[in-house]
Amino acid sequence: MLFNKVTTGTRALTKSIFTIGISACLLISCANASSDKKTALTDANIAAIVVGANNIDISAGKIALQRSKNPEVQKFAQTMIDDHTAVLNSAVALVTRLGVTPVNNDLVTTLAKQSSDHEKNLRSLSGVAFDKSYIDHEVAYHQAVIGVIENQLIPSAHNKELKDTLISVLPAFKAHLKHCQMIQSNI
Amino acid sequence: MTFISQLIERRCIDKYVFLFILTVSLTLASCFSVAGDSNKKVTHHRVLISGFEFVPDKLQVKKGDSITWVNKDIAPHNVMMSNYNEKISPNLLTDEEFTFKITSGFDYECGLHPSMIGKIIISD
Repeated sequence: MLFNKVTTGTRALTKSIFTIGISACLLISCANASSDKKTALTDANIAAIVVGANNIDISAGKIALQRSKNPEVQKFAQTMIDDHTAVLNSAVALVTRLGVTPVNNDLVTTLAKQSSDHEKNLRSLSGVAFDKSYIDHEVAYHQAVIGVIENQLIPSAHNKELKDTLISVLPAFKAHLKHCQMIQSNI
Repeated sequence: MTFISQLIERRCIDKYVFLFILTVSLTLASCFSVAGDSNKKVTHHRVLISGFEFVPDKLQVKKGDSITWVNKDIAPHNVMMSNYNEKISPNLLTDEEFTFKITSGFDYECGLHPSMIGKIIISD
């Protein structure tokens, strides 16, 4: 019993350290990418970040639907695809109406590179190892994106409608974070 | 009916008078029945789904009341009884709504987003 408790405790600690590690890497690289050149984010940059961030999670969700056998992970992946598609469509409709053409910046490039590496890793995994990697990354990714939206995108948005849209999508990202944390605690 | 038939045959009661009394009785009975039903006041409640929350998240209702959930988010949501994992609504897209007649209290959640929870409490 004691051994089991110690093992479970060690697993939980390892999981926490792993998640904090990924989260810290994502946050640091996101922060560095946006502050290196000391350039303020434009609405066009923000539009590109929103489109990129949603596409990344949709893409990861599609891989999870193909590779995971865990019903909870599959259900979460489908929710990510549906919700981020809805947010993406809403964002694209808004920037189209506003006449804003998304312009990539360093943050978008960094996110795209990390996503590509992550997807490559996911495609090499299966079973519980896949589920753990996908969900751990989802936890870290949502934590990082919430931080970027709150601390960088909302304060930088010039157009009021764009700012309001960013504020309105935050609860979605927070609900997703709670959801994947629930799954993480059961894997 | 045999007793009534005998009365009619013995001309104690005219059959037309009997039919009149019967019609009036049935009409009065149906009136009282409708009045009885209307004494039960049914209330229609609305719960907004907004910002990935049920608003209000706790609702006191009476048995027979109905609740309409309205999705104001851009993402889809549904209503699922927590204890039975039983989905009582379809997935609701933006501005879609779903109405349910309440027969008992229950805890519920969004089947797509389990952090969204709500409670229906029976107050009578």
